Amino acid sequence: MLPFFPMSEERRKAMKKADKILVLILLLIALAFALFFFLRAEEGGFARVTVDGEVKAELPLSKDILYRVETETGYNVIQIQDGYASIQEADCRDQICVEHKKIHLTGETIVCLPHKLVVEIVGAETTQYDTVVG
Amino acid sequence: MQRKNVAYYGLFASLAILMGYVEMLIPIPLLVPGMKLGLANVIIVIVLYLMDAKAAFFISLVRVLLSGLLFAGFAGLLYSLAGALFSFCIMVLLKKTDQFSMIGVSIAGGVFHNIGQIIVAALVVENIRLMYYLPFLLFFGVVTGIIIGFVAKTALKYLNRPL
Repeated sequence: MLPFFPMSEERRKAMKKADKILVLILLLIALAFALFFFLRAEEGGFARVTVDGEVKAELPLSKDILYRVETETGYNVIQIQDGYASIQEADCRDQICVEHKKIHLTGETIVCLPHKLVVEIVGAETTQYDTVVG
Repeated sequence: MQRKNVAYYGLFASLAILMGYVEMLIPIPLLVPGMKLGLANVIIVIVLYLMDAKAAFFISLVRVLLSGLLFAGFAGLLYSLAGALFSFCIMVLLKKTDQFSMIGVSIAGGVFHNIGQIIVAALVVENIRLMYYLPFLLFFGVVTGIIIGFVAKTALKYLNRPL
């Protein structure tokens, strides 16, 4: 027996008016944020690597490379390939960063919380740091 | 505190911890970091309606601390704690207004759990760009919140009889 499907009359009434308004507002906020991010997204020029808020490197997406970052809590190996950035390997315990899909649009990020490491795609013009390549 | 309450506190706290464990065993595709089903919130919502806000607060606190110790380790504790407190406050507020059903309360709880976690995460890595994940987390928070709310509502119907 599936207790939640299909929607019975009782279940449809289970949500009050205020519930529905809440759902609507939350979805609209999500949509607004999504549009804000995705409409501005374009092919990025660099992958900016920051550890604990400090920029460690800006890797051009046009050049395939494996870049190893040592942090206080461990290491991450960042891979640039075919214009995409991903984390190939890391010794963090949750491996969320390694499983994250590869990124290439401006604003997209990969985060490794245990190492306080963020890989963020930035546009070609906005770069203000020297490119650090191994 | 009445003896009956002591038993209920213990029972619900262990149920909430168990739910957190069950959730870890379910392999959900991790589309976004921080995305969770929030099964433990079923118990917190039930406690909020069956007992009171005080009970829900302490059970939520005990759950986060013990789950952190047992499964996640202390590093993840900060995120869980922020999420749980954020979620608890908003659920109590919405329940007080008396305008929302359990489902609305549960949706708000789920969504704000995610928001609390992402704020702490953004502070930890000192990168506001983490907000990139916010629309995904809002959307999934609404979906899981509806499911959790239905489960809690259905469970409460049975629980109300013997109590």
